[in-house]
Amino acid sequence: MVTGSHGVRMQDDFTGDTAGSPGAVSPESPRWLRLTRSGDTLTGYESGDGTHWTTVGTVRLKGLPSTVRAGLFVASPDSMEVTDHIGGASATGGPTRATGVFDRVGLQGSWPRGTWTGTGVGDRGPATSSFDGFEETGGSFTVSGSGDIAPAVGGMAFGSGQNIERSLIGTFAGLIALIVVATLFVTAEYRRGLIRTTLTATPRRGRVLAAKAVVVGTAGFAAGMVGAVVAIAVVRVSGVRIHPVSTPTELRVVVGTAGLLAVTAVLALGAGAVLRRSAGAVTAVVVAIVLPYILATASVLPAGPADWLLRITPAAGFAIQQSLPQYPQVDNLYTPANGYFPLAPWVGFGVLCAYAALVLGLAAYLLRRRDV
Amino acid sequence: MTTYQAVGDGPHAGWTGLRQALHAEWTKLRTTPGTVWLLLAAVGLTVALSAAVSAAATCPSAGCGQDAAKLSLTGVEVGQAVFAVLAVLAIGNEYSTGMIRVTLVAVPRRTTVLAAKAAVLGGVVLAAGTVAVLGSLLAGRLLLPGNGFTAAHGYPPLSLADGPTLRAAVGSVLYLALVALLSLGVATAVRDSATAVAVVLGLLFLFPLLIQVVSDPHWHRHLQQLGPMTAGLAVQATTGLRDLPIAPWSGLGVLTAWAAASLLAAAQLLRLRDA
Repeated sequence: MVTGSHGVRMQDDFTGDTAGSPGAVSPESPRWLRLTRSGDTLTGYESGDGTHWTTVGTVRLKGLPSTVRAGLFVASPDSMEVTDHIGGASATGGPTRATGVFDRVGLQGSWPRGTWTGTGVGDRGPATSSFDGFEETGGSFTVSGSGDIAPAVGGMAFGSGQNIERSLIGTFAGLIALIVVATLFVTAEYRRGLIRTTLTATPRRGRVLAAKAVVVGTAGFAAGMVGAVVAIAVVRVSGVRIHPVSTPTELRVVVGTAGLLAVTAVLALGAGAVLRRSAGAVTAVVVAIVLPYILATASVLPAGPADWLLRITPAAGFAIQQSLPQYPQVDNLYTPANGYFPLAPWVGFGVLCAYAALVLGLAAYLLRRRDV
Repeated sequence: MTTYQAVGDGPHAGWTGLRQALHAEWTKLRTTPGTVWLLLAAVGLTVALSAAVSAAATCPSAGCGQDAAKLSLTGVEVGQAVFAVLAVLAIGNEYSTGMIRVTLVAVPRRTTVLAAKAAVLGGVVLAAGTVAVLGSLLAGRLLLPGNGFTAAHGYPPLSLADGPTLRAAVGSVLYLALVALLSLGVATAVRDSATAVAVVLGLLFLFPLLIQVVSDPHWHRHLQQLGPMTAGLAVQATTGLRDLPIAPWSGLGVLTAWAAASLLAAAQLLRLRDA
């Protein structure tokens, strides 16, 4: 497709989006588009003059039947006005209408002889879509309509099914349980006095803490890995449609969830060693990680402060679970409540890691300085 | 030995016992080193978060759809966690140090011990919660007008003379006390501070998270009505009352039921189990 201000784009299956050449497309500066099929592989080309063609992208559609429908479409997303309020942010707007002119339309290959017909495509989602008809004059088509054809984004327009991170909501329950285990791993030693035996056996205190961190981190990673894989499998088997994501993204979400648990366990261990009290340490870590996420996503805060909470608190780490990308050409409320984090996945995870490193460092320092 | 008999067998044994138990619990709570710090932290964090939210919120035009009272009471969400720790430690510390055995020898009627703990704790949290809530409202009253929450936009300064605001304030104080009682019950039942804190925070926080995932509107509403935090905090709403999943006072009633259930279960377990 060509867009007004986002260049040429090739989209597929409501998930794929490949950008072609950038630059505004207008009646004065039109584009030539070509789509070819070979088996179940589609290749998109674009050209500025109709002679020199460049490949935009190649898409493999599994199980594509031998007979397909092809056509010309015009789309125009709803206008949107965003207001910020206590329920987060909300958008109001209405349908807009667009008209596209296609000329020099040609078909090659074994297409049946016949005339073109016009139809409205798709009927899902809140977008008010309509088909306003088309005109054909001497091989040139004028198509009008409203509604959008675009990759799926989180929020109201998401339609049926779930994104993959929603099937991992149990991460929070696992996180709380793991925080208790990791904290008790050090505070229980203080309560029972075992810490004296431990430090007599291994007088290098930094080494004791490092060993504990490795053990608890590994356990957390393993538990998170098993939990995430099982959770996603259970949701898939139960028949809920999970929005398709690429394999690298799914891998990142699963491994990231395991990493999230591992790093949180290390953070809880550090907090336990600093505070030496289990109840205080558990509360501090849970409040630091879970509460900002709730405040930011459960619609208590306006979008601005919510974004900041997910930048500067350990809850930034949940960004690693975000599976839906932001599309520049798709208007949407890209807010935490709709599943979009202000930081890139690995950057958000890095914020959490920085907190864990800081607390563990403080714990090592205090463990060396303090009597047991 | 004489004291024990006076408590156990006298004509007004129950009342005398409760009064002495209350005095004992008050002494314990007052002299535990962490109590003062936890109370200061609870009040400080509540007011700090409330002030931060009040400073960050904006109301650019009339009818911006915000709830000024609820906004300025956001700090209660973090304050509740600290009060929960205070409540858990009130009995959790006794189990971890073995003090509970001394307590139960001194006051053998176990429900009396729990009732005394609940009363003392409830009183302390009500007092500290009042300070925290009033501080939050004051912060909101001072900060919100600067961000467009003016009378011209339909937001007169927050005042306790306003019925819904008063209800939100009183309700928030009661909310904090009920969360503390819920925590006391859970801690008595599980007898370990860390586990108890995790259970309480799980109960409070997992409901709002689960609600985000449930797309079925029927279940969505039911979960909001059931969750101790989601239902209880309905008492803070001063606008859009018709759209609430549960009415303000009914919401607080749900939390009261949670707290009562937790205390009753705790009393039963305390009576049946060895200490």
